[in-house]
Amino acid sequence: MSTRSPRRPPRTRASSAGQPRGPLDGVPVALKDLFCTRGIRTTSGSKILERFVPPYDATVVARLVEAGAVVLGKLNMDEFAMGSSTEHSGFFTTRNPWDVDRVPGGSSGGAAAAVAAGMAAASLGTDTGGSIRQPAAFCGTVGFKPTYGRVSRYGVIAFASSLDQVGPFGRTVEDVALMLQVIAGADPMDSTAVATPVPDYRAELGRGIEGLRIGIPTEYFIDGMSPEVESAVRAAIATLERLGARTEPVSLPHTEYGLAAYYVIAPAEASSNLARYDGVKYGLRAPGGKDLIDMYAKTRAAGFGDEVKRRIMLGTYALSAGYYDAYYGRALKVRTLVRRDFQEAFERVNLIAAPTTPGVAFKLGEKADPLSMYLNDVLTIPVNLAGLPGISVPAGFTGGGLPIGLQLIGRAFDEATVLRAAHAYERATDWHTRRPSLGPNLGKDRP
Amino acid sequence: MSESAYETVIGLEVHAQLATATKMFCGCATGFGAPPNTQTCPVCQGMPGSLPVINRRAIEFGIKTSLALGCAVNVRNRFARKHYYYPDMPKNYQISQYEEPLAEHGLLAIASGDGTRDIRVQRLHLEEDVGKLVHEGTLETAAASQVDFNRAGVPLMEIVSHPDLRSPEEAAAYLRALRAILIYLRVCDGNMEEGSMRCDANVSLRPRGVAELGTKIEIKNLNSFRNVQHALEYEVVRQARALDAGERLVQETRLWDPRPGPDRLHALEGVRPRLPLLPGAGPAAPSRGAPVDRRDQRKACPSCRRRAARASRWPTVSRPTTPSSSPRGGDWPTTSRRRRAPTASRRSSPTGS
Repeated sequence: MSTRSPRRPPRTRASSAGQPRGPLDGVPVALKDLFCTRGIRTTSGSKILERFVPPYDATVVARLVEAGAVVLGKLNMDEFAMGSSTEHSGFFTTRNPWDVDRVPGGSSGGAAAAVAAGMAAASLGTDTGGSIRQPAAFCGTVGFKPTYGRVSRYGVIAFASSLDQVGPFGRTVEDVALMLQVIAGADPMDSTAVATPVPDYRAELGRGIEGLRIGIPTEYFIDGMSPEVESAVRAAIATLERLGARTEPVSLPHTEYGLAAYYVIAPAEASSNLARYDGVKYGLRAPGGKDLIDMYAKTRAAGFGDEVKRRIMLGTYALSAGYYDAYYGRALKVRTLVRRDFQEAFERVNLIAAPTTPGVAFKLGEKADPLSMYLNDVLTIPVNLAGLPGISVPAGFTGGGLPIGLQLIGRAFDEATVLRAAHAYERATDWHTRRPSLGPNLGKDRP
Repeated sequence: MSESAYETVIGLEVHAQLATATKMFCGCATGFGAPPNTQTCPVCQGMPGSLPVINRRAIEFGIKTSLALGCAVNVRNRFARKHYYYPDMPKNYQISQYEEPLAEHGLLAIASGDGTRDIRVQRLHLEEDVGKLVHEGTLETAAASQVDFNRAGVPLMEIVSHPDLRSPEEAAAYLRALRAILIYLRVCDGNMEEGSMRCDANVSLRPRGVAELGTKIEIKNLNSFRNVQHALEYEVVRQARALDAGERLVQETRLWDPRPGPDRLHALEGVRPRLPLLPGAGPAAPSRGAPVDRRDQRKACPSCRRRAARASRWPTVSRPTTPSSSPRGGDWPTTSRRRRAPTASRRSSPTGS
């Protein structure tokens, strides 16, 4: 349904004398298809990289393999991670294991669906505006975006460099903590991956949340939110209180401007990051170019999908001479305000609890209008703008049987507290134990 | 009127290749004359997913030079991306410094007439060099061009003077004085033939006694002291004649042709390329872009050591002027037969196909 097998043997070395190779020895994992894997095709969901085989491994891939993990394959995604449904993949649409007529979310839709369907024990995705947390919520899995700078981005095909962060999907918080333990930490190949000490996340899990102060942002319970999502999240907050946490309302007043700022900053950075796909060096080169410029134009016209083109145009416009200050410069100022909102809230609370998304998984093709698709990320984007860690954990189901996600947001580099609270909540509920029934209709119409 | 009725105003932009062992943002070697694309890696080839890491030594060389020129070093300086499409630039942007350069406000004393004169240095910043296009034939008639990325990512220091120079002789004297300092500091070998020092000149004329600057012409491709002086002398005469004839000069860039001929300064481009700038390595947290010592980087990253050998597997030969009729899939092996091609790097690969 969502794995795209590279048809290669697992990337493990011969096991030596029965000793475990590392904390993930033999654990089958899969990767969103934007992590560079040496000798294995890496497309970033785009036709322009359909035949691109990287000559090197991403740092996180090397760390997983080093820890003994078996990489099963690469997972479908929205092209260059731009999208919230995986419908913008350059190749095919991934379906939600809970209802194959619905999207798995995106852009890491394949990574969420594979874990939900039991096709991999865990997976890695990236989160630029919600691309881990939103599909995790839609597919009923745990998905964790760590602090910007916690995990190396070397070898991760860039969408928006100041927002992109790598993170794990798993069935339980503990699995996600194990994955993060392996991939976190400084990397000499990525100067934004900082040397802040990485605690033993698993050891922190059992400490409980007695006395933890949790803020509930009033701005995150927005008009038009699904009532079922709201009541499930309110119930989850009540559960956290029952476990000993103290909750209080907090205000993040610039939340509503976050979306607009994001849709300037992310496309601006994308237009720059995607400039290299020009047909000269690697990937697709469209035939029939009369000269260099014509070859560039034909290659990019053929290789990029509509959503990617839309964002390249938006971003190029926002960065162009005369508009730079009005758009990009202004968006950066909004970003500072959003970040300050969180800083002020975190002076009073240890953690913020909110819904991950305003609604549940929508039907394939339901959000054809780009704006309605963008609105899906309104509750996850501010966390990326502020660079904070955020997790989505299963927090219930709609009457129709679709998963609902609870989002927990922590202070910068305080992943341990986020995981601890998520784990405590998970222990008190059984949502994470439910599995989709993978009936005979699963994967129908798959190309 | 004649030439002497005008005052010549010249400013120089000097690009000096830093004599570091490794490139500005990766651990590749910087030596001149190696076989094409043998001193490359995913970073300087602009591979998807690669990231720049600043070379500590390059920053040190830049600061040394800044201090020698009496510049104020900006504690907070920042890299940005300068965007334009050209096949010799792997990422289609150049990482350079724009609004926040490494250093500003220096002075360089040059010999002038019987004494010396202080020429103001406007700014000094660091950037990465681009690759080299090798045309099969001349630029105009080439059926194909190839790209050599050995030079891509080599550290450059750009030193920009104020328009304080008043004659082609002074321009040459400025270059000599600057070159002597760079060589003394051992930050650049000063070899103009190999392109270790390159110079662009901005020149304009204005009637004597007038404070306002005239229309400036930028001259590129000046790779020797003699060329600098000749090109500027040539351009000064051309502009004086044009102004005498009542022509309006248009701001443009011209390419110096060192071969003798009737027109030795070719118009190169009417307008400058559009250059949207985006903060580079880590826009959210520029302070995090800490420079590294390459030795530490290689110690921590064994794959970096293998990278130079492996890079030769990735031919970057391309034909940008006449794209072939098929996509470049052939260069990117996807079949198992191609993958088993016996190369040194494949044998050392731990994946073992």
